Amino acid sequence: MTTDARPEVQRIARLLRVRPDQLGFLDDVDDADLIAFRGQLTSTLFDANAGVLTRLGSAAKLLPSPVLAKIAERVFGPLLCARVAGAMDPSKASEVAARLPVNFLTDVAVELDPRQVEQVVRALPNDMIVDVARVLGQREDWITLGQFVGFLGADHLTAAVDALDDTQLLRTAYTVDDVSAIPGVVDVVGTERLTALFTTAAREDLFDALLRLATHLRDDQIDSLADAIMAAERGTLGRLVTAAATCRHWDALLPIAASLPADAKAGIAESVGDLSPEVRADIMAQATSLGVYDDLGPIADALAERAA
Amino acid sequence: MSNDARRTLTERVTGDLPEGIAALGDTERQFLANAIGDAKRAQRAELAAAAEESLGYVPKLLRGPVRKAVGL
Repeated sequence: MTTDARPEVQRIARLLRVRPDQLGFLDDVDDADLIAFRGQLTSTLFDANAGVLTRLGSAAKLLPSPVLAKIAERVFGPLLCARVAGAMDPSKASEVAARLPVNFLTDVAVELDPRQVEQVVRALPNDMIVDVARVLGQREDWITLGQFVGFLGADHLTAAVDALDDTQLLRTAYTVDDVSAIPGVVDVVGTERLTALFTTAAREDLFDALLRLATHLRDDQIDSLADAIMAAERGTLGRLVTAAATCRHWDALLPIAASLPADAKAGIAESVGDLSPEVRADIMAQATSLGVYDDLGPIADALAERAA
Repeated sequence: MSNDARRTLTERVTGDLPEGIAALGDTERQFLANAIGDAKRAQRAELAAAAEESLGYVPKLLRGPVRKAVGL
């Protein structure tokens, strides 16, 4: 990807077949509204040709998978295949997918709306998920990777996570469509990989993605994250605190900070001294709202002392 | 013009426009409405051409049933 447009704007541009820079006027529209609008566009484009798509799906039942694969690749191309896939029997679609070159299959994945092909995706074998995830990672297509996360079962998710390196996984985390799926990702990642992710985030300045991920964790996952930070390279925690201050993600950091050992909390307490009184007051309010203020120990003391 | 632009985009999609989209200016809403219309037309033409061309890859014995199923 060479564009700097927000992921949601890029997705809408792809649906409408326009360049992202032609949609610059969407820059001030918030993500929730853009996601809702994209859902409307997807339905509109599918419904516009629902009759012919359904008939093509029915006709596909009559043909052997090798013939369908040839037609898909030579005639339909990725965009139309993505539309027809939603109208096909899932097991037939999976059979056809298995006969397509991985690059073509990836091109189809880029054009798919996961909501319309959920059953097809679930019918795909793990190795196909791995192959497509690898190609998407090589293409740096975080948007497509991110939009599939919510539609993968645990087996598929494990396979996809293993197929991506730490940087690719962090960049994908930033674009995950369905944030309710993030705890499931952390479940399959494991503490050792989380530690590697923190180290990579510190090296490559990707804490924004990691903090976004941390915002959506279950309560029982916070300790694992705290353990992972402590096991990461020296200096990682300090950089994480700086990143939280820069991108105002204290809501993600505070629950983790509350689970850190006392000496690590003392280190964070030192660094809050550089923050303005307004920011410290805001952090205190967030900690109280999150119910972790009493567990922050020296951090809470430092905030109260300096905010007073 | 203002109401026309809003109605056109509203008529292009199902359901109420999200607040941030509804609040766009007339020109921007019209651009989106036109782009949706163009994308629909392009998709329709491409599907029709692809369905016709596909028959060339279908075994002769199956062409009749496939033609009937697709509605060609």
